[in-house]
Amino acid sequence: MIKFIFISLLAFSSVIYAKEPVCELCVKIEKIAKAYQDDERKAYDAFNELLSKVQFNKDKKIRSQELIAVIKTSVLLEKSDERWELPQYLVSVAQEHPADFKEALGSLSKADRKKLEQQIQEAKKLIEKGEEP
Amino acid sequence: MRHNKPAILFFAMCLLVALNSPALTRSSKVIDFKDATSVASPPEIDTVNEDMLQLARSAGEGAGRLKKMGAYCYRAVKQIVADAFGKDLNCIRSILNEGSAYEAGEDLEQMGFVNDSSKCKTPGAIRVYKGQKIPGIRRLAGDIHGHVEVVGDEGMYHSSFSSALPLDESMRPPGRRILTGCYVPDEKAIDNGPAARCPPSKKSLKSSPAPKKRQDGAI
Repeated sequence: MIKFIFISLLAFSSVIYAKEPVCELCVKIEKIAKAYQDDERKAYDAFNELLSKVQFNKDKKIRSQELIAVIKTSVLLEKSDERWELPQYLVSVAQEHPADFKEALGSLSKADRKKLEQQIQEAKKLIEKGEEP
Repeated sequence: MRHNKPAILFFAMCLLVALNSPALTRSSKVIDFKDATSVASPPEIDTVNEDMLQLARSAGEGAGRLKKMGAYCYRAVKQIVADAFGKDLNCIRSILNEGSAYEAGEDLEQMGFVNDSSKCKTPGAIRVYKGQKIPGIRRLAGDIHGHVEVVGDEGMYHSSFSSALPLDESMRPPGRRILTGCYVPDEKAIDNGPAARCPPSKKSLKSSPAPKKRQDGAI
């Protein structure tokens, strides 16, 4: 009986103390966001390159965290985005993970969300049809 | 009369040295110390016409700045062209009427520009690129529709944004934008072309000046 209780406690503790999966991409993005205060250009270039090719995690929980980090940092870095590339990359991200992306947009303020959604719509139109004649 | 042999010899030696001096044999080539290869001769400034100067000035003064934010490079260049020639923007847009930047070359030729690859970095030249989709990289509009920019009078490159470098040198990864033509105005062709029939513009298109290049080449 005592053995049973002991083993159960051990098993239970391994569940409690099991490590939460870490969002490594979030850590990377957070570093970029912090570095933005010191060197906007360098941080923007790093984020732009990351967003151009990052593969999101297969785990839904981590992927949600990643998308939130990406969206929030895109809003933060907007004023450095002279070539307007971030909304264009987000078009692809939204198409790759539509449900999760929409959910992640909820992490923004109402105003930021509306603005970003408009930018993504505009970017989608630009990619598909080019500029108007 | 007795010849002065030493004097003649001395004169001959001087002539020989003079004929072989670097001052007389210097090549017109510019050596690019960056990669230690010789490059083409620098552009001839006296072949830059007034239209080019005006294009360069309009670009440098921010005529391409758009009110609406976005990657609308060709829209910006149409504004620069309209401002440079003092013509109504809508009329210019009816001539430069393609929607993709990589098609700007055809439009510009129709207007009276010529493709001159020797003037790709000359102020007033309009550089046209096609885009290249790179595997593993999310797409941008320019990967499909190309890019177009004008060389400004201060040596920067202007469209809806301004840069110290031309886009094929600054875009990452390399090879993502390919320069397909450098268009310069042929003054006679422009004066006899469709733009000549455009009414003059009613207002200045300059909203804010383009950023100036600093001494270190940064913006």
